[in-house]
Amino acid sequence: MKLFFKQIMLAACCLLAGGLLTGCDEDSDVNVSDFVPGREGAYVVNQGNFYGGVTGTMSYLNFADGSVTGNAFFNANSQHLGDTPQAPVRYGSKIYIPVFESQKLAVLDAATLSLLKMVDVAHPEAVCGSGRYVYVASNDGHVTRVDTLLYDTSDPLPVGPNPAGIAAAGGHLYVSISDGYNYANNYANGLRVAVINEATFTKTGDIPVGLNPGQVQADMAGNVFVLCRGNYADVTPKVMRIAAGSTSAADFCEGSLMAVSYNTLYVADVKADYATNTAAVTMKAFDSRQSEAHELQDFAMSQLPAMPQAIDVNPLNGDLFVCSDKGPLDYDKEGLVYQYSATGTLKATYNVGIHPFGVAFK
Amino acid sequence: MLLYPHHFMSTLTKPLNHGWRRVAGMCLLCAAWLAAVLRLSAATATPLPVDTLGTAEVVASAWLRGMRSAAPLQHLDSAAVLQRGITDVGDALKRFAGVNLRDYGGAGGLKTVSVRGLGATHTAVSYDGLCLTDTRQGMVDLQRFSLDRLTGISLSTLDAAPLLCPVRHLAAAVVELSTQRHHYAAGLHGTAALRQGSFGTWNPSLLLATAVGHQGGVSLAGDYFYATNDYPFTIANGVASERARRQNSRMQAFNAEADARFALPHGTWSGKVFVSHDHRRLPGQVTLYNPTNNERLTDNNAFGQLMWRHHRGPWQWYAAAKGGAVQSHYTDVSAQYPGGSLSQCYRQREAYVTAGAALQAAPWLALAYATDYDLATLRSNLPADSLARRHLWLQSLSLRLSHRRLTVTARGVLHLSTDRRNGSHEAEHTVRMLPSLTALLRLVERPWSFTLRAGCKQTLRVPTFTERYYYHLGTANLKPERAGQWSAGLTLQASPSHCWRLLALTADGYLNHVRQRIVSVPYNLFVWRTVNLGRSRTAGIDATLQSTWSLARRHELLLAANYSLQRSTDRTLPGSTTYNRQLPYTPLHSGAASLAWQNPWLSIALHATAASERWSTLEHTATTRLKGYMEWGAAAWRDLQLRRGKLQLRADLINAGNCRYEVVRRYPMPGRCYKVALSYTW
Repeated sequence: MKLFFKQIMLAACCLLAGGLLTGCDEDSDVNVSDFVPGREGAYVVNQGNFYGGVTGTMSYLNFADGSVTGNAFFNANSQHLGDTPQAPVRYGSKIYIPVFESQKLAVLDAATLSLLKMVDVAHPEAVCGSGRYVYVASNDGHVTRVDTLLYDTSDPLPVGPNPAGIAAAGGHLYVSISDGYNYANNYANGLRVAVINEATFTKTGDIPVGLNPGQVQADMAGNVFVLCRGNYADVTPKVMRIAAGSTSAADFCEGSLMAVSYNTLYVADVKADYATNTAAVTMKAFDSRQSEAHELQDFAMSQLPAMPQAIDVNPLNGDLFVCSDKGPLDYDKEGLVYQYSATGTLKATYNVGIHPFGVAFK
Repeated sequence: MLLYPHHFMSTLTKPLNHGWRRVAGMCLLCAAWLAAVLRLSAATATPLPVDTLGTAEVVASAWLRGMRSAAPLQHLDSAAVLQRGITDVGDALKRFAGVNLRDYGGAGGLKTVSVRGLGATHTAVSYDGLCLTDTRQGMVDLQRFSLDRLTGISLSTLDAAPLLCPVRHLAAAVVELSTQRHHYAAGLHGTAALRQGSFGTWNPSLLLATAVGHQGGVSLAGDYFYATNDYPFTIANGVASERARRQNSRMQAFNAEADARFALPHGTWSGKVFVSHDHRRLPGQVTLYNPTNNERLTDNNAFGQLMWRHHRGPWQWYAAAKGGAVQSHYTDVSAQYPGGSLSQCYRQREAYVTAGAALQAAPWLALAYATDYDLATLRSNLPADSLARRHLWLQSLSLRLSHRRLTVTARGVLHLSTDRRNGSHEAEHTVRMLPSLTALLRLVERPWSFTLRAGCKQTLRVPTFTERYYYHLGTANLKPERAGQWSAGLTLQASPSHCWRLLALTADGYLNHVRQRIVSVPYNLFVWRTVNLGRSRTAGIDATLQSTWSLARRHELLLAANYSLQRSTDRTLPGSTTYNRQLPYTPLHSGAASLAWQNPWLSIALHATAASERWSTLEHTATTRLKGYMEWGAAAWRDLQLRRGKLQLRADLINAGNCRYEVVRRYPMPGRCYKVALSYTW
């Protein structure tokens, strides 16, 4: 994990160098880490239960006193977030949340959680930020570019059926094409990651990957990781790696859930047993810059989460926040967020809303 | 049927609850009264002297259906439907105790019935004597039946009342819808009606009937239903709350049926042909910030059935056959789907035969045997269940022992079924023996009736084809869901006084278990699995009350009420957070009541239905809670005798208090609305 702290300092320095050099006078007492979120707390997006008519909510985890504020979004805005929110993304001073069933991209002030804008986007699944835009992958086969200041939206760019994940790296956007609604034909029109040129906002090609790709995340070095979910039967989920600048993907490791932070890849493998309402969970960490999956030896989870749904990493200190249901059958019940240190030691457990699905840091 | 002279019954008003001495006393009084009646009958055969008292008015008071049955049986005839202000089949079912109606709102909303916490798939629905089946989803949408054509609707729980019946009628609960007429008058008779209501509802119907010879007759009936269903509702969302209207909710349906019934020397034959076409847009559940929905559902349904019954000496026989087809086409237009829309087409076919015989071997002993065979197929355009087939063979052996006031009925049902999917070498077999035992003790038989009843029963329901074979949901080797029922209760019917013509009370307590519950669990947002998991237990009380008062000649006050207490809980994993919690959408308290004043001028009925709070999932939080509700309404009607027929005018005010509520979360129910109806019967 020493490597991790070197990486974080380097990254923060790169991101903020311009501002420090031009915006500060000699007497300013500026700490680089002041600009990295994750000091005060974390916002947890709880997906709710659409079939049970339960809207999405947000919980706030206060790091100062360890308290949890339920329904933080409603408290801040006196209205609900919407139905089936997806994983949030903190980009700049704002938090972006695709709200799938409500067909909105919710833009929130990260400091106050105030709702700044509800942007119309069809069936948004995933979002990422790059430059002055955020990019939204929609399940209807498009990617929409949203201006982070004006909230103007581009014409949706067709990329392929049922995009499920999106990440920016090296001036390109990588969008997983799952063809998830075409399961009857074995996801035949998916099996790829669409590549979009950020500058021109045009699709430049496809990179073949495994069956039913979902999450896409990139490390600091520009390597892209794609989680291929398989067919939920005989084709098991795995993580594939697209090396920086490469146009091909290679198998990396087994796993059904992942997160990338700087140059570390965290992978969880979850196998549910509904009869006992328990899940067999393993979690590993890898150096994402290496083409082969070499497990980091100083990472060992002390108490594994019950039924992980999402992994997020605090960019300030590398703490892992794992959203989890209490068991495979508890998808419609209030869940938990486990906080682990960067080496995998359990630091805290928080009770949050129904079906927690992602964390954004304050 | 028992006849009571009013002046005599008035003496029986007070002693009803005063113990066995009173009971014995009343029996003696009853015997004396019978003797008096007989003497009176003899006396009226000869001319009376001028100074003789006038003939006593005799009022008939039959035993209500279900008051002397070993298993709970609740019944509404067409008169009761009118008197209780009932407006549709779903509304009728809410007037039965123990019923939990799953109502998705509005005229086009799916309505299914769960009885005593067992789940809708354990409830069989019969239409004119033979059960309807849906092998795809396992439950029948009761909204598609027009209340106007029904001559009766009943709910039997635990056991069927007749000893001899098709084996399918021995399900855990059976809703019986009946349109059958037992008498046809000579000449062409019929009813023409037009109903109009809120939210663009139009419903014309026509029924024609005529006698054919002296043994029977035929009838033809048809109706058309159209509604826009765009009723207003409130989206509760804090400062962003708004009033909206249901969208994409228009529906139209056409139903036609022909019936024939002939009582011939070698038995009574009855037949029916039924066709329906139903096209509805589905508004879907209310979604925050997103009012659009593009779902469509088209159903075509046709069946024909023929039944023969014969009774000769101690023997009874019956045989019946039925063939039917259901085609259902669901579409959801959205760019998410391959080709821009999701299109699912299902075609079900069914061939069903049943036969049985019963023998009254001795005054105290009756035996019955019945057997059903059913072949059901489901085809779809989905690759996983392109053709699924079920062979079902049911046999029942029933024994009824009667000794004095005690009647005991024992049954054994042998269930054999085989499910097979096209292209699969594996078949799923189910073989199970299902016993039941019910007992009825008539503590008091005359002049009032007081009975005790008890029973227990085991039933099962095999997985539906959706649960077994649907792609990304089905699990082929699912086991049947098993239910155990225990019930005990009492019934009381009396005619307490000259004015208080009827008092009927039932109260039943029960305990039900469901094991190996079939539930769907999510793999992720899009992919679910069906597994045998979970147990539930329901303990409850059902109570009903009917009362009638004669205020004056042709003036009657009719009260009907039902109450249900259902403690229906999850018993899956001891120690889990949801263990022993109330199951979703099951109110602890629910009930309905109606009060009607029937008179020659303008009859009026007030009615109310209510349910306590419920939850949409097993997680009982503020976000899953549905608040309790009580809605009330009123009905007014008048019959006008015309030269050649009768004209009936009826107006209904539904949900008069404009109560905003949901039975299923995010499926709002309509607020205040009206219906008016004009029908002419000749």
